Amino acid sequence: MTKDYLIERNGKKYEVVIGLEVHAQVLSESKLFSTSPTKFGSEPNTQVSLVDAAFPGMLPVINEFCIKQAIKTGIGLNAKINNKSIFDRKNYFYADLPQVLFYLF
Amino acid sequence: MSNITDLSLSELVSNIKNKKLSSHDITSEYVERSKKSKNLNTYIEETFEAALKKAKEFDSKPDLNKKLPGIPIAIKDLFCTKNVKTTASSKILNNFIPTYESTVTQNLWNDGAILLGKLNCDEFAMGSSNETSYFGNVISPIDKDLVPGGSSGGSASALAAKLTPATIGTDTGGSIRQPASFTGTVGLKPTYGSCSRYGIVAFASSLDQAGPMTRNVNDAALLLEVMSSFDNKDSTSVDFKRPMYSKDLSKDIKGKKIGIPKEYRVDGMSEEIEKLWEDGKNYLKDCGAEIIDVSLPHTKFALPTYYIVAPAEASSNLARYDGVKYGFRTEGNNLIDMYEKTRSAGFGDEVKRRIMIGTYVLSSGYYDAYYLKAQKVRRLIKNDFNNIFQKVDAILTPSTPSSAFKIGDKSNDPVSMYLNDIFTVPVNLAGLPGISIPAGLDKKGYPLGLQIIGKSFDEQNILNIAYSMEDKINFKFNLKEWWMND
Repeated sequence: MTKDYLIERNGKKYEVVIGLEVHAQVLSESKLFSTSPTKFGSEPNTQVSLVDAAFPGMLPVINEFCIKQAIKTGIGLNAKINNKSIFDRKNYFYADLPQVLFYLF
Repeated sequence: MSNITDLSLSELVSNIKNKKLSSHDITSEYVERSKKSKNLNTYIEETFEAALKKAKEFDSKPDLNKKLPGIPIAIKDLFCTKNVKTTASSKILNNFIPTYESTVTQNLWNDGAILLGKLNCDEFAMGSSNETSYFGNVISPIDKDLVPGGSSGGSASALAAKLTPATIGTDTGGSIRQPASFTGTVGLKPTYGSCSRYGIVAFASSLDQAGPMTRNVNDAALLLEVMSSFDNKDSTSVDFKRPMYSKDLSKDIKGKKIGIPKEYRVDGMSEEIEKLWEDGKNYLKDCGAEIIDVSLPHTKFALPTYYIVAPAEASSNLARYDGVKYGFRTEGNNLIDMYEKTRSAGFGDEVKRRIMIGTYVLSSGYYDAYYLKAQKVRRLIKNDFNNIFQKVDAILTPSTPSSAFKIGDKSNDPVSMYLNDIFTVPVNLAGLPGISIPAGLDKKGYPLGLQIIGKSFDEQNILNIAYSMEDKINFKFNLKEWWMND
């Protein structure tokens, strides 16, 4: 570890760690969990399906293309691809969440 | 010939195919009978005029290759029906008209059936007595003071009172099997993944399953054949080769091994239930089956596990009802205020209770102790079944700990209400198929049911066992039609 990564203050040494959280939109035709289009700049409410609007009885179905893209990205980054992945659902009330639901994958 | 409404579903189908009866003959009888039976409060939405019109259309060009040709059928108001009000028996959906159809009901219409109307149930399928509906209690046709069971209480009551030849319900913790047991009818919960959940108002996504409710086992087999399908709009739907359940129905169960789980003999179990169970074992022996004592050690944890997992999932599934997109809305000063006022006014007490329990067990600080723990116990319960299914082909238990109770008896005591589900919830937790058939009467003359639980996707086996037992039991129940008005 070179000296550049360490900062000294009040007799203590601190190591600098920088993380990058990268949000990269998958260039898919449809959304991640619904068949709605994702065309940038469309009029509001023109790309909202019954699933997106969380109508009763609607169920999310994952977009297979997005899965493939995620796997390719992982391979490109030399990452390990898991054969089995699990969803968690996170709930909170917010104006941008019709289903009050957030899927973590 | 007996009254049209006395004929079973299968008999009606034969009569249509033999041209002895028309769809209009059958539909008009059921409409008349339903109109005279409002005292039972089974219907939330009647579609009688539309049904009669569809019956006439069917008769003008009958397609006799369908499995339910021109057959009228009323269904639980939890299935979204296109252009027909769907309320889940809740104020928060009291004006909701879907623009789409659930897969299971679409399967019925594709096979020739006609919608008679939407049947009352416990609000959002939460209840065991049909006393939580925004549209009022359902009355059992057996006695005006009795509950029909729940949550598919309207379905069970309408079926027993012959207001519909058959019906469909949903079962999350026993909501098909328990009301079937209380009303002397047949109710089947298929394996999780057999029937699509698309278009069914969700209560607990890992437990919900649609199923047939019928007058006899043969009818249940026929209806299951129509209902069960692979659906790519439901990611939990399983693509397996579905048998022709009614064609392959057989009374030959010689050599089948039937497990009797000792943990289901609960403390304080009544003599009548003991005798019912014993009789059931003897009927099976008469049919050539072998009775084997087995153990499901984690049974006593099933009810508490269920009442953690189901409310947790419900708190998530019901979060969408916020007054923004559809349904009932109370105006508020800001978004949060609108959410709070809408949900306070729109949901009934039992729904609120379960949402709060669910939110609590998922909350930070409690998640590990409750929800995560419950999921682990759920796995143990499933393992118990997997272990014994290496030794037996099916399991026999009572369906409910008692016959139907009086309206109001348990509505102030949620825990005593929840105890109704003690024999049914393990089946949902394990995702297995279970069927309840009427097996006897208690001292008061009220029906009691026996439950047969099977291996995953082995509905044919439990239908066959139920079919054999039904024959031996020869259950007869005469209902006085006290509720009819002219």
